[in-house]
Amino acid sequence: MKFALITAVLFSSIGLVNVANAASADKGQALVEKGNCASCHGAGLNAPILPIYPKLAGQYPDYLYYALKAYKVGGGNPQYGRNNAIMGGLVQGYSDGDMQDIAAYIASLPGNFVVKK
Amino acid sequence: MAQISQIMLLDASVRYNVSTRFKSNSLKLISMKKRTILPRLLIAIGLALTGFAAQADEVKGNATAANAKVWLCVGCHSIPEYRADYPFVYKVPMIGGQNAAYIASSLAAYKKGERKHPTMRAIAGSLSDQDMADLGEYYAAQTASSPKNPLK
Repeated sequence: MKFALITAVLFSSIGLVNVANAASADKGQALVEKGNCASCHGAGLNAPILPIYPKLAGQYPDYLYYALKAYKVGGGNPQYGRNNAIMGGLVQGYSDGDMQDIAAYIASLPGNFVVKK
Repeated sequence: MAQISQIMLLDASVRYNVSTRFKSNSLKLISMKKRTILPRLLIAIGLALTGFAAQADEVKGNATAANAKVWLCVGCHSIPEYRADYPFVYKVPMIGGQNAAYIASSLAAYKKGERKHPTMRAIAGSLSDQDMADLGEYYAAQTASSPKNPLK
């Protein structure tokens, strides 16, 4: 009985932690629409208006988050910062959680990326 | 004493040669000035035009030419869910199907140091503009059904 209780408490605490950390694609969608990402990255974030802009749909979420974070810290950061006049300005208002949500939403979109030699 | 006079003689002859050469050259220049302006102008225009043409050729990538150039890319980008570990752990981006110009510009940014990942900087540093354009076209052309690289 005692064992079952402790196990239940442990499981529920793990569950709670996971819920708190899980990125929300729904919240991400709202942020992507509000940020008007499609105005450059195109319909479905898979048809950029200029070839020099990247397709995003279906990209790995942790890479998308890393890229957003790199724009947020800016090119002055010698380890991973990245400079871009447009992206650098757009991401400043986002928290880490917001960027996780955005990444989760974009990764869920249907894209045409392939991994092959 | 003999050495000194030899040096003085040498010095005089050098001066003489230089001054006569200079005079003859400047005379030639003056006499040729009128005749040479037009051909020179034509050559300059011709060079300027071939410069433009060369530039336009340079940025045009060739996917087939990249068959032999992807050996530095495939070790990470061709492995599903391969993870980079500096300074964070994250999966290296999928680049098959990405826009060609974006790939080429990313490589150029790594080469210049505008993008920071150490491995990518080292690799991009060894690439020419033509290599970058070729690699961009190679990965942009990849689809689920595209043929296997015969060299990989």
